Amino acid sequence: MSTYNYKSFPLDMDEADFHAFPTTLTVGERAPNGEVLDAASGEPVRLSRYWRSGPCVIEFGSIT
Amino acid sequence: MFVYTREAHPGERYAHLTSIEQKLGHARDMVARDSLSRPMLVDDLGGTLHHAYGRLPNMSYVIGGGGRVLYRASWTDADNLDLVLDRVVRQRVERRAGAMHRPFYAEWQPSVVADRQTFIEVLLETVGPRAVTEFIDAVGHTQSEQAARPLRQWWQDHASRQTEQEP
Repeated sequence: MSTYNYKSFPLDMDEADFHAFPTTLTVGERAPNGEVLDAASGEPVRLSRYWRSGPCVIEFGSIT
Repeated sequence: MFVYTREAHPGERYAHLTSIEQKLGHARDMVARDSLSRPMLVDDLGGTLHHAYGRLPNMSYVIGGGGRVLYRASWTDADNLDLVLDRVVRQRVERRAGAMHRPFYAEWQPSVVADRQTFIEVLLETVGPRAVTEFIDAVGHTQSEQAARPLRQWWQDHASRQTEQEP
């Protein structure tokens, strides 16, 4: 986890992750499901809740 | 929806994450700063879902109603998403009208304008100077000093302007 939440931006700009991305998960596969926290309420929620009723967009990121 | 991951460019104002409470706080700051109306969801501290989806800093996905991946991109691009969502909506309408659809596979490598100067200006305002210098050093390391030179020049000019403004 200490590597994942790095203190400084890596000099290699996470190049390995960008190279690995095309084969990490492919279209047509089942989307990974799991529990996240709803920032508004602080309550846990399953990701699948959002695609249960129809297609949905997931964007990943952070304020930095 | 938006899934909050790790700090891509930690710095003075937004340090690297060490607790889930801190992560929730950063996510809520982002909702307020960007006036987000879509759901803001926060991954666990170790980034379990972030890893499962590919661990990139600004990737995006479209998931079909059946829970399968319809689209994935290493970089979030609103124009691309518009194209995909227009198609997804049209397919739903056509299916409901009785049309038979068969899936096909496609690959595409679009590109975006790399406006790094604007990026580091935003980084400076949001996070602070450390994130800017680390980003410029990374550009120099992964690409070339030539690619980093205009950014270093902007950064030096910025420092000069700051010095001139000091009383």
